[in-house]
Amino acid sequence: MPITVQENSAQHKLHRLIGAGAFGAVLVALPFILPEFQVGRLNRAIYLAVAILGLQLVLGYGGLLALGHSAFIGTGAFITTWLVMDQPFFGGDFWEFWMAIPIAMLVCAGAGSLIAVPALRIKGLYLALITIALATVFPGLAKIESFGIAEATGGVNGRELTEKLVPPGWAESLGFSATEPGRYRYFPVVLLAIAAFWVVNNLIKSRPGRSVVAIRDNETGAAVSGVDLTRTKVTNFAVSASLGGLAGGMWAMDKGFVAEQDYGFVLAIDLLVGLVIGGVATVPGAVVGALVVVFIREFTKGLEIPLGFYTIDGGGPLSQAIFGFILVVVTFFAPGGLVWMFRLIKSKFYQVIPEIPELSEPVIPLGQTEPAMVMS
Amino acid sequence: MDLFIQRLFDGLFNGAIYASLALALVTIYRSTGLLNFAQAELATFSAYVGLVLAGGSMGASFGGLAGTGLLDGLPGYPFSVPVAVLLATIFGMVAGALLEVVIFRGLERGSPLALVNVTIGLLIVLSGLTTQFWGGAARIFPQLFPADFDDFVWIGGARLRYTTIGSWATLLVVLVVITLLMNRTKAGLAFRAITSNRESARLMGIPVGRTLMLGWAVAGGLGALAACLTASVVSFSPFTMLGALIYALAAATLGGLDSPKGAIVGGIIVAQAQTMIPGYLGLPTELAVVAAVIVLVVVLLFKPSGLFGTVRVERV
Repeated sequence: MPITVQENSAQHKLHRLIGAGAFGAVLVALPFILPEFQVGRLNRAIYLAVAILGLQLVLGYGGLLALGHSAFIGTGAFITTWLVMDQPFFGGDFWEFWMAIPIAMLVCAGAGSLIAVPALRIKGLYLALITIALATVFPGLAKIESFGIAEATGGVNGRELTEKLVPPGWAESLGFSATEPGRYRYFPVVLLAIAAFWVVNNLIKSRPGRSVVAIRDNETGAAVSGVDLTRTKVTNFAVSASLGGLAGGMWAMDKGFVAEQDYGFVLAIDLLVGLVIGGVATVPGAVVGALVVVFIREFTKGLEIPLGFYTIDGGGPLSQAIFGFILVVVTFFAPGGLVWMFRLIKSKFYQVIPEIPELSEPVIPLGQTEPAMVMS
Repeated sequence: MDLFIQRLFDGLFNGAIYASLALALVTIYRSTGLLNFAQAELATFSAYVGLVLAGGSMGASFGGLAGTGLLDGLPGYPFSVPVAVLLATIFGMVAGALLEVVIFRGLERGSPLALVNVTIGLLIVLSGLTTQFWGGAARIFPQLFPADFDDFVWIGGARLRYTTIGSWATLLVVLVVITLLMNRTKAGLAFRAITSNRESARLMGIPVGRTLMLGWAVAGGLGALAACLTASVVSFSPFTMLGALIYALAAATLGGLDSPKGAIVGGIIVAQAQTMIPGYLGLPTELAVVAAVIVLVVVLLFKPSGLFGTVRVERV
């Protein structure tokens, strides 16, 4: 028999507190347990999770097959790089990361609203193909020689951000060292990610988020119920793109190196794969998916399976093939994603009885409705 | 004018490649509602198989097969280039049919996103296998048609290369065969019935799985042929067809995802745009692609189902 608890009862609140506390403890402890190179991968997984979260808004909750979010990550990374490296902050010193990233997010939000305009009309796989084209074209755009673009982005060779985020004096006294910057950078990265997840989680549970889901489920029905289709879609795209920009800014801050070829088709595929493996239209799915994309790929690289007649060596191009194989297998056995599968298993052991919501207005008993309210 | 004709001819070869790949995509989309992102990689794999059969120099591990004497027992090995291309096409057909049986039949009721994910997974698997077996470096394949420097005819003051003529001739023959297959055979009739309404077709007793296999085989064969044609003209790497896939996707979108005619027309338009736009506007090649994408977006804004696609009417 599964354990059952009443929603919002003292017991349920205690369970949630324990869960949150354990999660928080793991988050704080992880960078100190893992070796530096693993922390670097973890950072990468975290900002990919933020980007996938952005994609969830449009693709998972909005139901629009927009696959070009890699371009927003790239835009965010390049804008951040350009501000931090080239632009004096109002005649003074160069921009700091914490000032540059919000600007990058704003620019991406603008770009996202631009993409939203054709998406109002172009639907389904047609939209998917256009956005894939966008993802493919983006690296080419970033290395154009004119307008000083290639100079700002580093062109084909990529660009190193010489203004790096290193632990300041007080952090060094806490045990962070400049030779292992990933451990220190983990904390701003994870804090930004928590903020992003908090905002999105609240957003989808409030009016704008519910409008987005309503449009996905039945566009005509949503419009009839008073949802402004254009405004909702454009805003959704803008928020989604700005999360991509945030991920890009975090990327530039953490890696300290940007290169156009990192923000192309392959990244777009990674985002999509992460989203589907994690779980479509789930918030935790973004984290699970990002972890899978980053760590399974590393796992397959280290793999060596002797088959007797042939040794499968993950060091070479075969790691790609194994990764793809895992992808196909996971999609086969958990078509809704890992989070849905986890929820299914969890419900066998632990069930929450939902609270009956209080009604703001008394329900008119059946038979006493006004004639105008009668539905045929 | 001469320059215009020359550019027209230059775009024709790519047009044939994009048209065949787009046609392969459309064939599968029409019958299953699935966009096969693994199409190009399957084609690449088949083309490499063709190279092995033609006795080409291989180098890397699996290519060692050509030197082990394993293939020497085959009657007629090494095959002449046209025979090798034919065998590669058959390989592509068998591989396409196998994919349908082993993977996609079990996923018939999966969500569209899950299906896209599976084809992307296949793309990654096939690209990894191709690189593992034959290495990532570009290599020169044996020529199917004379492709030397002076193999062309003068038409209207412009050079039309034999490879272009040959590719289009091949494509036209294949188109005739496919049209006959679809319109004159029982299997083709069943295929069209499934495309029109799968559930009704199933209730009428049409073997849906087996018929869809036919569609996958046609698509696999078309892709393999396109890859072989490409490989016999340009130096070929495991990633060449992935670039072509992007243009083929654009071509299929432009023409309308469910229209075979649209795939051919779209392929020609996209390839012409690819040569004409940088030629006449003096743009760098990177920007030419952007211009092509903008053209695509504008066309879709006015015709959201592509030029020849079925307009979907939504019932409220």
